[in-house]
Amino acid sequence: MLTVGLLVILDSPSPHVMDRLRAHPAMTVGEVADRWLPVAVEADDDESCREYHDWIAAQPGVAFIDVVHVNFEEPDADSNPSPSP
Amino acid sequence: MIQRREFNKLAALAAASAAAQARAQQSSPAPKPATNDGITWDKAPCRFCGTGCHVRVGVKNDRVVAIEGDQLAEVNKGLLCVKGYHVGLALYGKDRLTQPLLRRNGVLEPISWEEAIETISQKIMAAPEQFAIYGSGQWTIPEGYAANKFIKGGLGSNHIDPNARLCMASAVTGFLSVYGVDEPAGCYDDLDKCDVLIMWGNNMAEMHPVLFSRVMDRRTRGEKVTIIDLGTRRTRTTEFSDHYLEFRPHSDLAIMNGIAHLLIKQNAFDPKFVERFCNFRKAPKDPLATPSAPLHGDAMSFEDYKAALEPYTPELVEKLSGVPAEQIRMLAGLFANKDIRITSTWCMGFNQHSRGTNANRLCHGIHLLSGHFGRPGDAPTSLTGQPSACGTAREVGTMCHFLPGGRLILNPEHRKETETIWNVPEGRINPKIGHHTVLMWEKFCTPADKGGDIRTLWVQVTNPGQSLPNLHKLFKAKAGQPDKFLIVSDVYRTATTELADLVLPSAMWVEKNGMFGNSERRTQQWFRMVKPPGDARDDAWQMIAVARRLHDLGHAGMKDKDGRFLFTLKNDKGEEVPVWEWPRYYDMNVDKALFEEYRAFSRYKHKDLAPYDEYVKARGLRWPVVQQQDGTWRETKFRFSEFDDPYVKKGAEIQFYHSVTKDDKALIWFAPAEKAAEEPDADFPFWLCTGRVLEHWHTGSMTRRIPQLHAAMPHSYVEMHPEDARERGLANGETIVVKTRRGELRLPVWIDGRGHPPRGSLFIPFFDERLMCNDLTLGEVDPISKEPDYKKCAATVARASSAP
Repeated sequence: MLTVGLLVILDSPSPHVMDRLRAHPAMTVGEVADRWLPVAVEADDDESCREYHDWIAAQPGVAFIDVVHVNFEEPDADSNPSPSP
Repeated sequence: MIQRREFNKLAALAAASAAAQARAQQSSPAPKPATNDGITWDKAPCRFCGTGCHVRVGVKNDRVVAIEGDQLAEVNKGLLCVKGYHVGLALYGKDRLTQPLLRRNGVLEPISWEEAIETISQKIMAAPEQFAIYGSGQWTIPEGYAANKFIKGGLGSNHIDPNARLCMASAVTGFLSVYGVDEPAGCYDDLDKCDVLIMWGNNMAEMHPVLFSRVMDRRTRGEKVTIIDLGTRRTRTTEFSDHYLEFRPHSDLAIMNGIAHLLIKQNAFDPKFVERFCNFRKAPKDPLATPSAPLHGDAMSFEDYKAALEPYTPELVEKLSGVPAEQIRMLAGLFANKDIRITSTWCMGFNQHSRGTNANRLCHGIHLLSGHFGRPGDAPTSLTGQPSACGTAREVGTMCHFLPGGRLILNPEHRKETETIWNVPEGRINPKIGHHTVLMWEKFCTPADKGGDIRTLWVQVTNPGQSLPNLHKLFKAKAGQPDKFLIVSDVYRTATTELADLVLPSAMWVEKNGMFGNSERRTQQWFRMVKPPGDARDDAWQMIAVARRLHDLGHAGMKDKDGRFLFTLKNDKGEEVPVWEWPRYYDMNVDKALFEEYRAFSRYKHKDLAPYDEYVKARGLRWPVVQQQDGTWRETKFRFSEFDDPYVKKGAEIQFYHSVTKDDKALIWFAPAEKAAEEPDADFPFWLCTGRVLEHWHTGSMTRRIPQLHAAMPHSYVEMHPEDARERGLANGETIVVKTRRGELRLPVWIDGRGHPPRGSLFIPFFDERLMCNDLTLGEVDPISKEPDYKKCAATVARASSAP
């Protein structure tokens, strides 16, 4: 399980985009400050985390996303590759 | 478990909410209160690039479990890039090195630390003059200082050079020859104030994304910032730029001469600024003709300068560079406008260039000529790629020609001052410059009977087996030479350990105390937060332990002139601690002791450092850090400007107080546009450029072990223009062979991928140890900085199936 804190930068404070994010089961939306919207995302794995990120980025009214917090307290050790030539 | 999930979610939301409030109010939030969830938090600079972002590191049960951007850090204001927020996982690749390994019969076998230290010491004792250290801009400041003192002050040898020679050396020679002192006058605050940001061959959106985000944030607020991308291929930076000026590789000098030509032709330069603060210099035809030629050049008058620029009309520059004449006029027009503020940034595009010193000089020159200097937002600023290229390689002076604090090996006074601070006998420091990086590796890879005078080489905190240019000549040729002994201190097996005779397991990042110095003169500090795995130990300890063993074996250089061990260190109570014994190493703060000793060097070039404890309290401080009358310590954002720099005389406005010409003036240089060292021809019709990607840091030895980053960018590739691919019948993703005069490489082609090279150009990133593009690169160096050109050589391509 990955938990990520995102700062979503909106083109303008739009209730529509905030509603769409609130409706998403993996996301918890905080209080918007001007055009900066805090969002916590929970994802089962890296792939779904990236999918959620891309989904947010594709929403109309979203200008940019910054990641500000990542918790990897329960990493899946088996997914940790050790590259070899 | 549910409670734990809920807590993690709330913590993530709290961090994001704090960041949102801070951004909306443009302020720094109050420090977060301690939590009672079992996680302890502390600050550290990020382990990766030279931006110097601060992270908050969450530790639980002696393991890093969480990372967040540090809201209190001025550099990143709570933000991190994709690498930064995964930095904690760099510690936990499952193949960490945990014990020393010695190669016997071709196989690396575990040995004890005692045997490892003894082996190194015996190799050095046998031939100290044939021993060299190859270090890094990832060395912490105390680590680099210890290595520098050990070899220069102990062994009396200057065969030490850092990998910063491969990335920053041309910026150093640029700053030294223009201002007489290294490192930028401005800082990241310029990004907050500039009206125009010009990125010279600098893909900031991917390579310094947090800094780029800082500029994008201004746009989000409705501020107007004109962004100009000068590049040899379209990148993510291009997507956000107002102007993209694509130039023929190596023609950047022509473009800058074209701007200077127009400024003078149109009488649009700043004569008052030039008259008060500048002299003119010409790069000599033979830059090494005399000892002073590299940095002093040949004097020239303004009229000479004007005449030298005369040929660089916009039309000629268009012909040389491919940039349309009207865009050259547009750039000149911006520099002619004193009502706007212009910040230039560059990184490897200028530096990894066989005329890198001149490229740096010309960029400073157009800022000086136009007076776009010395006000917030008006600055030429180089960016670094490593976390302490500035702090350790440049300031500590771990290069083969430097002594600490900007002093020079060739200067007898500087040697004497250094010997005094180190309390070593007069004459201990060798007056001869050591081998620079490329020469060091060439000498190491050359048999002794053919002039290869380096027999034992100790690598710390870097991966030259992947990052050196022309690897066949400069690294792989070591194989099969039993009299050459390679020691590698690292955290993982790398391309370098493949040929190592002795591998030492190192502690990394928050497994040890540390200090870095970032691109904007900011010195940063952190404490050890978790223990290293197995028997991995600090790099500085390794160096001190070898020094002590040499001392015990009777090497005279390991004693100062009072007969005391070179690294006699005392704790805060003034008691000596035998820190060469590993169990005693953390009985005191070795970093603090080494840093306080090093601080004594920092005043000479007005790079004043504060006491160690000041850095403990801060998220870094930019030098010169000067004590105020009330006892507090004040950093300096804008050097040489009276309004901020305490060393500028009252009323001077601008004062270049380390001026090469000793008259407080900077130098505006003329240097001609020249051909690249190797250009495409009939046999090798493509330009080949190499570089980095967003997800991986340098050779990828850390980031490729982070699952999220590895998955996002699993392997290397070659970018190619679709028309070039179509002509050759190459399909996207197809494996092709890229060949140069040095070697060949099979890898997949990426058409219309992330970067978009123009026709006749290729790009390969260097992060992938399985697909090493430095088998292909040239190794030609800038004659002054000795930095190799990784950005230009001639290549050809073929389908893998048809390649011979």
